[in-house]
Amino acid sequence: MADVVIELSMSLDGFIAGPGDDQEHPLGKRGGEHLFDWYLSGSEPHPPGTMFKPEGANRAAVDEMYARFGAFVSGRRTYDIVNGWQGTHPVNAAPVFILTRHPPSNPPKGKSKLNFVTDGIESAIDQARSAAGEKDVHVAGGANVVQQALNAGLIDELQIHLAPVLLGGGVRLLDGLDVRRVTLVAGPVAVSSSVTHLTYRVERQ
Amino acid sequence: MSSVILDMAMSLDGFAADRDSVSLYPIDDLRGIEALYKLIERAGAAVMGRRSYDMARGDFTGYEHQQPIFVLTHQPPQTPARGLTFTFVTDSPESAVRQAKAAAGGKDVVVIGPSVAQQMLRHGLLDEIWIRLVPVLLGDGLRLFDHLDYGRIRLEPAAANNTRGITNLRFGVPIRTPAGTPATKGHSS
Repeated sequence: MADVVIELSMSLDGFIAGPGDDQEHPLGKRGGEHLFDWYLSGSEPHPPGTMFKPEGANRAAVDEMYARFGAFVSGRRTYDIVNGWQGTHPVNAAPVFILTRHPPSNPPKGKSKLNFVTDGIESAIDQARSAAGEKDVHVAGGANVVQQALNAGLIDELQIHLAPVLLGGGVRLLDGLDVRRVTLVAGPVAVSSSVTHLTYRVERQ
Repeated sequence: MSSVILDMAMSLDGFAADRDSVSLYPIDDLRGIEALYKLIERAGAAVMGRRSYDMARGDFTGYEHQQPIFVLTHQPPQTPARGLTFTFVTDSPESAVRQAKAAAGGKDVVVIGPSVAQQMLRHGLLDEIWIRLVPVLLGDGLRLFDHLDYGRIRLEPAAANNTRGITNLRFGVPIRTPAGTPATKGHSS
């Protein structure tokens, strides 16, 4: 069965955006852009035609993302901040399942199928799983959706790209978790000068 | 030159201790962690907060850092703990680091405890950050990197490896100039 994966860049102090994130500053106003320095660590666009320029271990991480995921789950705030990806998700124009109470009346038209899910995280992940087929489901954030998915025990794996920066404020990823103690199994770790790639499997009770 | 090194265990969700204030990883579980032994070898003195000091319950016999310990506290205890030499520093983190460096005799100074770590970061006193990232989500507890609302600090990744599931992370902390632009310190790590 397909895996449900959290895959995000996070600062050492746990933030996925600096303070004051909005449409104009999707990663916040104070250093949040350093969370993605690793996307731009090389000189060659990769995959071709994108704005990403990862190299070495960073390129492998981007390649894995493109190869692995067949559907994305996102929160409404993330959808609003990125303007609905202009209707085309950057990764393979994959379908996106957006958790919201009030679907927008006029979503952007593009190559991705944008699905608005009003009946909860479990339903969003179920639908994404069906759409992803053999591929895995990417729970893309924001933090609130990630927390809901973790609290509901729906996550199989966490891929954290740990950025070497202390942001001191912003949007905390692993906060408000309603867990007593979740044991993880650490997978391989890959280091570059701009990020440390960490992988964990969630141990099932 | 001696470096000031923060050494802490942290859960993936950022806690140094759980909600019952139990330290994240007892020393017994850390036997065989090479990074810890390297640190013990390098260190000549330690600075810790009152919470870490109290956790030893008055007896530092067998404590991993068998070195002079400087405890940053507003209220020194009437009777110091057994096992090591303690100095209670009541004036400032700078003073604790200065005294610990003098005692370390050219070796490094280890910093232990979330509150002290935060004070050291705010005052720009750390040279390196060593994190033992423990593969667990605690959900609640004592956060290691909290109350750091002074702006961002970019770090220099120095090394990372896994030992029995624990990921050992090492970072250099660049000097922050008054203008806020980082300059490279050039310490070896």
